[in-house]
Amino acid sequence: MRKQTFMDGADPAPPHKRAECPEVAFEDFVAHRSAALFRGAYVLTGSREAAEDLVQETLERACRRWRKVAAAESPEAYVRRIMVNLTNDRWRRFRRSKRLDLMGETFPADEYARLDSRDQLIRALLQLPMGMRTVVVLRYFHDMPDAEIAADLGISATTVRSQLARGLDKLRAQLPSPVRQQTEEVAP
Amino acid sequence: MIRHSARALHDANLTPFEQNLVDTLNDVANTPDAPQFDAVIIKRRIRRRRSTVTGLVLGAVVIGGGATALALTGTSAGSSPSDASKAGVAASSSPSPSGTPDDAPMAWQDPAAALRDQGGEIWADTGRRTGAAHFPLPAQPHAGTVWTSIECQGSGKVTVTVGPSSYTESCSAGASGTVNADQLPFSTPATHFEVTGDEGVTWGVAVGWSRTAPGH
Repeated sequence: MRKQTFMDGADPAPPHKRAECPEVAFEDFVAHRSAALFRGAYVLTGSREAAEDLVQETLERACRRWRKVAAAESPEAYVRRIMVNLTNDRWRRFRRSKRLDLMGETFPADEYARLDSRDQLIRALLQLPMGMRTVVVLRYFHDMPDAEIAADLGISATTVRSQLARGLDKLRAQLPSPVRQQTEEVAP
Repeated sequence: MIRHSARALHDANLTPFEQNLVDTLNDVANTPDAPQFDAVIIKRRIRRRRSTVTGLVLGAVVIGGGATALALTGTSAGSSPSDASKAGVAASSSPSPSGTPDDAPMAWQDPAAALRDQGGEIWADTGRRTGAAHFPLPAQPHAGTVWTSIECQGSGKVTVTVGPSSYTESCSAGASGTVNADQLPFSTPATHFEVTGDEGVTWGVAVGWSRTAPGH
């Protein structure tokens, strides 16, 4: 018979109650890494509200299994994996609140042209199916290699590459031609 | 505002379009100020769930016959305060002596919800009860993980016994509940579980199953 514990597979379970998560380590993680998690969540969801909700829930889950998180080679990567999987699981809810908060913000006049291009690209990104969008964000925002993305999402590296290629094609196709031309002109 | 860039490098292998995408993602990520997440509040919220999740890993014993539908008509010396309570109606609890948020009365959390969070299939849900009761479990058709989630309110203890092992949760009127996950190894598949609550303690127990290992 296999012996495992929910919170920490490497640690034999005590007979009874166990604290939910160590005080200092978790608080330190929240203090130092939650902003980065939030920015990743914001890129993924396109909504400040959804990103906050996503990070809050991610941190709660991380706290509940903190010993396993802390024992991971990269706790941040582990927590990001929780967040990405939550995103995909709960996409239906996020889709209802999908909104670009940046649309309501004001920017200096000389930023308009650049922001216009940026906004169209982000709008196009948010039109991608969540699975495909997740792959694109993990690759181009989190700078993760294909194999790592595949492991996190439980898909093959071939599927990752396919999703990336199709995602980029869709992004290009959804941009109006002047923006596409502009992005080609910035080539070194 | 502290700028965050998960991808600071400019990869020479990127096409201009990809580089533009990278720059755009980093720009957008830094558009809003990140809110402050408070670890203390997060842990408080978890405590308020007052659910105890117990992972029980079963061996690879396959019992013949499929899982039987489980109707919770087990012999019970306890009582069910309200049918409506199964739907998660807020329970009454002792008022807070200090009035601080930590001690504030809590809403009753459905213990089955904690199991669903684990991706489990619900086998049994007792609803809210007091006293002692025992309930049948379906035959375990496959190896996997059996989860037990306990919700309780009131000062005292609740003991859940599944097969040869038992788990005791200390309950209190205030927000002192925890979300735990301890293993109770079973040498033989369980056919029923028993719950015993101290006087004055209201409890709810859900038992579920998932194919995946705990933590996944």
